[in-house]
Amino acid sequence: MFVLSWLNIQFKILNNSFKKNRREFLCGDIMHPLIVLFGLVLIYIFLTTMFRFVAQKSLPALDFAFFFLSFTLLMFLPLIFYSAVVMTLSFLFQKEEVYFYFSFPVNRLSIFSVKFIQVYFYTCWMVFLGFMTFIAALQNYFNIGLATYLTAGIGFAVFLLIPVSLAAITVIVISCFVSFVRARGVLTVIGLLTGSILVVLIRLMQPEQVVTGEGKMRLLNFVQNLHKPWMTIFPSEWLTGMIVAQTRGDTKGIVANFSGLFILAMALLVSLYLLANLFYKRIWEDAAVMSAVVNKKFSWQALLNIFPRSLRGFIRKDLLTFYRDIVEKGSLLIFIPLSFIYFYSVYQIDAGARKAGADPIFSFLYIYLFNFFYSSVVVAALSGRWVFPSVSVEANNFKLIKNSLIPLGDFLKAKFLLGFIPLFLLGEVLTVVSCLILRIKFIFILVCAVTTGLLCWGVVLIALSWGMRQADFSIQTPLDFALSAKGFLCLIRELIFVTIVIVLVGVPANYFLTDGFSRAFTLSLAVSVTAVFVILSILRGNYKSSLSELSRREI
Amino acid sequence: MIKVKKVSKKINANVILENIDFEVEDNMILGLVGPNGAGKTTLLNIIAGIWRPDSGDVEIDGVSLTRGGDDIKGKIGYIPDTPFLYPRLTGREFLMFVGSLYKLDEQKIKQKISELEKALELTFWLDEIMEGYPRGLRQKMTFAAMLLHSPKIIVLDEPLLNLDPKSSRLVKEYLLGLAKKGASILLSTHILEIAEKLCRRVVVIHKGKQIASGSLAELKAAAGGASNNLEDLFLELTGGEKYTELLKYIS
Repeated sequence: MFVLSWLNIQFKILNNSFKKNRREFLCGDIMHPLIVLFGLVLIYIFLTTMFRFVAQKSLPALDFAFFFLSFTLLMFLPLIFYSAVVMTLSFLFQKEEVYFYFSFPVNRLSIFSVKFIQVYFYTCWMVFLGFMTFIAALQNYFNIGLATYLTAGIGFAVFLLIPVSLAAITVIVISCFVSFVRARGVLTVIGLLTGSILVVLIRLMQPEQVVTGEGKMRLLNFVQNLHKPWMTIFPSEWLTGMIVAQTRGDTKGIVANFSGLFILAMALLVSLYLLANLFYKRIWEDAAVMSAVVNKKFSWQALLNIFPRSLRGFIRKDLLTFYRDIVEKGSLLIFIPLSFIYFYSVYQIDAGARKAGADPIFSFLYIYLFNFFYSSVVVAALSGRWVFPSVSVEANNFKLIKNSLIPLGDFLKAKFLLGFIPLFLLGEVLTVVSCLILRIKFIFILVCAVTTGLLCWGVVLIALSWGMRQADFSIQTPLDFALSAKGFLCLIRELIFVTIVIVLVGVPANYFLTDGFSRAFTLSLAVSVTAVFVILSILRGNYKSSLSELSRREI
Repeated sequence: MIKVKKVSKKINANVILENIDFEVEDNMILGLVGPNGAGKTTLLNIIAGIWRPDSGDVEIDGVSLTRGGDDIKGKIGYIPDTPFLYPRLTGREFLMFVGSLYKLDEQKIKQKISELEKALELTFWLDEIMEGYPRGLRQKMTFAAMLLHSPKIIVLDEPLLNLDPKSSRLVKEYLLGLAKKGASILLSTHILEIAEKLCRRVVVIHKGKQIASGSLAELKAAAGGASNNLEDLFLELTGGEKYTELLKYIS
């Protein structure tokens, strides 16, 4: 009863959001599905190309498709699990809404159920669409019956219950033994470490070799070799088996595999039900009354003296907030695999180019510019993650800031510096160290260092300006905002800027490497330098106009 | 009737409530007063059935809240200190939702909404999205949601906060009317004038301990009759010397 009322209310909320501001809904919220749709089209093209390639090599393409599906589903299991852990921590322990529900004569399990539905939906909708794209590619390319959509859809929905229930069980069990705040920290750090290890392992497989025919063959063998008989114990294999049975019209096979999935999912749901009945109310209550476990030490006060006096308060506040948030602080762990992957990639590209006997000038330019591009992408992604939501995270406190004696410009300068300084240092380390690995001449390292500085400046300015224009003071977490359609658009803007700057560096560098100090080089250099200054002034103008828009905005 | 029986609660090893013990009879408004951080909100959350006490119990009309099921909450109407409203719902949609949580049938909810919208002067706003409601109106909406199922036990955490004088008078009259009809009302407030005018009895909590309880006359008598009003009495009981120091500092 409560679950139905709640679902009805969610529909009304969505409907009211649409009615309230259709334009904002269509231009803002609808962008998200459009971007997802674009990604799905790319996945579809990739899959059909792969099937065609396998068929051209006279290999059993359908069998390969199922090996690939089984392996991909297996790889996705831990990712869905950790994504569900994060969602569970967020939805199950939401303070205000759950607090509100507990004041009514509503069964705790009903409250738990609606929260679990939210976890399931938010964790799975995108993966579900990705999976159905695979089915669409399979159905179209191999001309399999349309009933596959139904079988695969139902099967996948049941399959997803397994990692999501397991995640909810893990969170509840851990929260019973340690406080919620510590459980959140422990799970976040374990999740990040696992994710980092997975990413490093994938990088060590050298997926870039897939661009060559030989590499593709290696991938085919790789996927086929990965498919072992012992994999039949995994639910991913049962789901694959279900679709295989569907393509063969084997009803018994469908029932057998579906039963496996269903029984496991139901067993986990029943365990979750029992655990929730016993512990949910208690651990929610503990989480609601528990103040955060924080380290109150702040021993680097003196460092703040390098900043102007008017900015110090804001910088101190943001640093302390970051330092005391285990999830935000834990996110720094991602730098370790990121740096490793970066330097390893640079080394591999260089070694690969030398081995292939590529034209030294082309090879140099190619590696030099790619190095730039990659480091800039890293900086842009981090800027989108931390700088873009930095204004919105102030939430209601923004009123206080706006009404204070310190100009809004100073507040934003503090935000800019907090984004720019670490990203500048990271960008410089990434580019300069990789230049040294590549044995690039000093003059080019210098160009690289200066350009990286400008790139970081521009990227942070774009993220901050866009974050000011799109500020949403009702966001739940900065991560949600960074991953929203607005955050994605911020990343696209940053990447367009990065690409323009790289082209502006690449053209004169190309002329210099081929003709030395020629007329073409001088001309292209002049054009590039002028263009860089024009772009930077446009960015500054955009920042100023965003600032004035923000100061006029009523919240 | 609400019976609070030796309720204690600890949070992070800090004692928030210690042996709180009082009763709110039918036809009675009882005021819970105390300085910030005294433990009033924690106590109200326990009485509303949201949190558990570490020891002691709360009885609602003779049924233990800790041992009874969730259905007992159907007798209670509760306004928390920070009310939760869905910003993207209209007032009417919100009230319909709350009514469904109390398992009221649709016709009954509509009838009750129609009564409350007139009584609380909500008509103009009821079909607007709540995002744009002024703070006082949000408080009135929470009040309407709390009254939807005609609760016999009413628990209010600072109910008159943010209300304009007219609305405040309206709510006070409404509460007195409910008490006359047999409701047991427990309200916490910082505004001692409200406690003085509305409440038949007052319980004073300080640092998690119940330091006084009784009618205003009883409390004055217990304090030696030196205090003229509840404010003086309150300061006397909860550390008036600090207040004097503060006055000195200001002057």
